[in-house]
Amino acid sequence: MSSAGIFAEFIGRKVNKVRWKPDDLMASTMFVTGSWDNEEDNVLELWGLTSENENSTKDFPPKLLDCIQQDGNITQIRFLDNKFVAVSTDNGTVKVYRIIGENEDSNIHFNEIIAWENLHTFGKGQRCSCKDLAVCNYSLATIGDDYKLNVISLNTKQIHQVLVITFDKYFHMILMFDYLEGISSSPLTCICFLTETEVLCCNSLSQMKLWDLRVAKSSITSNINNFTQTQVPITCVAQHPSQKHFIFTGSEEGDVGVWDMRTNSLLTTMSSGDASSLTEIAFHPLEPDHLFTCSFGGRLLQWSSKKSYMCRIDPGDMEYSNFWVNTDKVKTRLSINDVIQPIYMPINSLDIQKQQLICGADNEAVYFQRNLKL
Amino acid sequence: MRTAFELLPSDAHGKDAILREAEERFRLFYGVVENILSAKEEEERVRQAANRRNSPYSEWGTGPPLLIIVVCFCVLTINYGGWRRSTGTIVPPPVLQNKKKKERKNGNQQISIPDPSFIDDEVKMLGSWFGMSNICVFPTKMSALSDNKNSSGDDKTERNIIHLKLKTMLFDPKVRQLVNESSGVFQELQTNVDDPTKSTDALYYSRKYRAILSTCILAIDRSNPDKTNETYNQYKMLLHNLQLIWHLCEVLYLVTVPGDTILNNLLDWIKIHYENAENQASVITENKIAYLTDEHIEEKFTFYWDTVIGLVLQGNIDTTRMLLSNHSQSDTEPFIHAIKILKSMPTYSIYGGLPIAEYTSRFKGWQSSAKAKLECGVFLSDSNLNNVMKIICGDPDATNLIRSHCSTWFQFLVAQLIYTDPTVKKHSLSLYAHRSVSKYYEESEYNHMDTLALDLFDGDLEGFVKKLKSYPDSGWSSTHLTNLLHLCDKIEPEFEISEAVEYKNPNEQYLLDYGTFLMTHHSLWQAGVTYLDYCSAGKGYLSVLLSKLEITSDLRVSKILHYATARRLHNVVSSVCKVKGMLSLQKSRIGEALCWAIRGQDSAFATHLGDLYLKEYVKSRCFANPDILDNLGSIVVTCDRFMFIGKYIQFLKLALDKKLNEAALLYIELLRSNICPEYFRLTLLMDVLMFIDDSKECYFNITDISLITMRLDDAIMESNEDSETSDQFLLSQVIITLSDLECDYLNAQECCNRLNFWVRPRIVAQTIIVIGFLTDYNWWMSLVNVPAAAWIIYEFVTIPRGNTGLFDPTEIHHRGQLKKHMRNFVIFTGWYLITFFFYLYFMILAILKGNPLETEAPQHVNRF
Repeated sequence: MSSAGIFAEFIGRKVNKVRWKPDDLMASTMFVTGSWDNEEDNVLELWGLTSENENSTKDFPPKLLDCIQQDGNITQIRFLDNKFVAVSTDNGTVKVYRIIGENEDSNIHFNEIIAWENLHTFGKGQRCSCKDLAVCNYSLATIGDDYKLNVISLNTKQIHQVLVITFDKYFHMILMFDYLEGISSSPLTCICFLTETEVLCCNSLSQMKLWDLRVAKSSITSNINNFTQTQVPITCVAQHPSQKHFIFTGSEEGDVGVWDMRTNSLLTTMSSGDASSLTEIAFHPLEPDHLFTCSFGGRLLQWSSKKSYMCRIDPGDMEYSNFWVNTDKVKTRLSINDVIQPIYMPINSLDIQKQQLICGADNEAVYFQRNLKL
Repeated sequence: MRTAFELLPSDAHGKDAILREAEERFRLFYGVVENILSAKEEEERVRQAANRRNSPYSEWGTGPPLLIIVVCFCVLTINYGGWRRSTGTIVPPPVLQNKKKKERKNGNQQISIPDPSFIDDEVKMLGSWFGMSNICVFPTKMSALSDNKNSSGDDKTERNIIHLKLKTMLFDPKVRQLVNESSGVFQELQTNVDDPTKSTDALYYSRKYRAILSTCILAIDRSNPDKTNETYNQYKMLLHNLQLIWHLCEVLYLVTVPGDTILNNLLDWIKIHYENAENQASVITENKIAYLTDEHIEEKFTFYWDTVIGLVLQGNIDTTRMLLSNHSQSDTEPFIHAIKILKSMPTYSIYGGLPIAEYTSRFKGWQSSAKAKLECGVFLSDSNLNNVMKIICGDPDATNLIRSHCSTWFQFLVAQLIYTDPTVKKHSLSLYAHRSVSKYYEESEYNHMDTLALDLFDGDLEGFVKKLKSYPDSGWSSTHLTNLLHLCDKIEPEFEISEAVEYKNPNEQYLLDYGTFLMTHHSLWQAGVTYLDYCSAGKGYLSVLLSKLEITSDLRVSKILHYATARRLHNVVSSVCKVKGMLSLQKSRIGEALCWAIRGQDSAFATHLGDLYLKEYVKSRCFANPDILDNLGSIVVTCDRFMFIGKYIQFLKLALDKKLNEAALLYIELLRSNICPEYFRLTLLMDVLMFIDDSKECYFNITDISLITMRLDDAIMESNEDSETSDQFLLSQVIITLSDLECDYLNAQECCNRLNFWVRPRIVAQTIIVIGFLTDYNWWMSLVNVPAAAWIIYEFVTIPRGNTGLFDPTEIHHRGQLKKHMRNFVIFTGWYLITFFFYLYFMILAILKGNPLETEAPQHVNRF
């Protein structure tokens, strides 16, 4: 892919997470960044794309709309819907913010709705990181260094009504609060909802554990181990947007593993030749043939299972829908491209919305690509 | 860290010399001049003041103006790789002077620390490194020992520990963009240099760097719209000057001009950086109202003539003509003439086709005709126009006029060149430059920028780069420019031979300095890695610096590990993993610690963790963290302890699943390999009971059994040494049960053969005991042993004919023989045990009683 149409904005802080604010109909014009490794000064920032005049499309450079100081490195940002955003930090805090103000409003800002200080804690003021946060239908699941899995369901009605938070309303907003302790004995790395009631946790020994929230507590539904015995930490996980039983994991050695959750087995692993740790793995939400990964090696890759528009797909070809099951096909048909030119610094996060991609890197820059080639 | 003190020479001259040298060294030490050191007083009180009101704060102002109270030379050896070029040797000391506000010379800043504790003559200032980039300063009373003893109790003064922190432009959030973006370009340049297929156009990259500079300036402008922030204004100015110098360097050294006629490029350079005149011109020309309403444009815009002259001095003839034709008097004779002259001015372009000689003659002709008109007094009606024409004619009288319109001597130089020597060659620029500097400045007072530019005009790149190093951008420009010039072979690697031998070229040295400097920043350390990667000594530096980085978060750890593994710095990986492992161990999370041990391939640490697991198992009969131990990966290869744990868990699993045959195989393997740690041996041996409970099958063959008994014997021996008698009994019982098993379930033939082999030696041994006692006249002892000897001899003699021995495989299961043998063995074991204690008792008795001089030999000891 050509590097044309790439814009970079240096924001003065290393970016650990970047997320588009979801927008139902149009391409989103706002995004949220979370910084890391800036001593005490780590912030959650809301950016809006700007336009030269009324008619032209909105574009970089973005304008800083709001900035909120956080008490530690931001480990994950997830949008609950197009207004609410959940943020976790490595101090064990999880907060839910509401973005107030519409697109054209000059005074768009964050409003803190709920905050759980020390959701993850070792006690006695020791830092305990909240490693990852997953979101599914107003349910939050968080994992932390204390080997605790928290599942919080928010009351959708309440949360939408409340503008000013009082103490009693605060409790009304939470529908359910569950936690499981000691769910692993090696550091947890990432979490993801398989369905609304099933949570998948990965750890740094290449193990995955599946929890069913409906059954009795502290019983693992299934415990999946990587049979290759390599024990490379799983760093990120993503679910196939349409075929929900496929789980894609990124490892610290740059491999992407494809798992079938129906059989709990590893179907195949793919490697791009970049052996550095993958930091985030994401599907294009509307075009599941395209998978995007970013890595410590500074490469943002697009893994396309569909060759191009020109390559006609036989509608009778049932195999196509089961592309990932067919390992031979994965080996031969998958094409891997650089989306942006390698930037020699770890890219920490990426997000895709409609045709636009955004990624944040350790050179304190946010990169923006307007027209993704799919 | 070594600290040494040196007292100052008494005479003022020597003091001064030392101070100057020390100052120079300090400057070198940080690699920058004019760095702004902010003295930050930490609230760390060393001692609580008893009487705060009487503390010397009040006296401070009235105290005698001590010029220099103390200079202490704290000599710091480098505790990491070395800040400077001398690893392992003594580094030039930072000298901190405590002064009252004093002179500030040549841009070198002296920091004065207004701390009350330094007013005393006896108080010396000491300093040491604090972290990577801070200096920690504290007062110390340097008095004779006897005084010290007296005053130690009643010294109530407050003492502060002061942290000196380097504050630099590059670490400002807005300017950090400069660092980050340039590191990207730098990296791209380096990789492309190595790649022969990619072209490395120095000019291209130079422009990229300049583009970064200008975006940074823009960003600063954007964040500081009303220009009220003084620091940002300062930064902007610094960056602006840097851009100017960089561009000049580019014009002079990177742009190749055929025929060396450099003037056009110089004009471009001036035009870009001094755009004031052009902006004003566009303001004037775009003002249509004045044009339409017949207003006098020169009256409306007071800067009209300044603009015209400015444009003329930049050689921007077309715009000048346009402005002149906008003048209200433009249709008068002098203006028409002037415009005509301007229009006919020959312009030189490289690709225009005119040879230089031809162009020069044309230019001369044009200028002389203009001069003729000037001398005729055509333009005298308008003095301003007359001045403009004087400039154009290269009239020496106009020098002062030009000078007043130029803000710097570069402009002055170029402006003069346009109308005096338009085809100036690069090599003659130096002469012109020096001339114009001396003309421009009344007294020869050059600032930093001037000397930099002069060096460039002189062609003294080395000197230029050296001076650029002291530009207050913490080495950003010098590093990148040197690197760029180095890559296009403009700076010869031989230069600076006087420096230490290991750094042959400035490129390396600057990269090292800049890289280490960036590494000290909490966020930019990743950019620093990039630079250290590209110098030959960088790897050593990286390995030390990376492991020195604070481990504040997991994210940071993963990044450090990433950089270290990519550069094969295994010591960094293992040290970071060790630290993390110990931290988890402190929280008593063995599983997490094990993960770090696996990560760092640290077998010693893993062994320790394995011991923890096994001890836990001995205590509680179950393993902690099953999810890890069930899936041990590569650690079993690197660490014996985990190989054992892995196998043992497998064994337990098999045993649990009642797959005893396989379990037996594994068990034997475990015993044979002898990797079982000592404290666990007993537990392992006791596991043999698992196989005994089942009475239908046998799992071991004869060699296995011998192995097991051997191990048991070893264990008994050891436990004997430790005199753990309870274990001994236990084990003896195991032996008996074992022999039961052996005779019951094993191949009877083999078993009996083995046992028979031992019958004769036993008889011999027993008789020897009896005889031995007899020789020493121990009648009672030998008498006690006689029945035993008699019994075994009787047993041996009464073996029925045809039997293979005492134990016959055909008969052993019959007539309760097995039981009989067993009973005999139990009795014998008990008897030996009892006699053993007897012997022991007698031996001790003999030792206590017997005088070794009187008796011939220690009698009872012989047997053992």
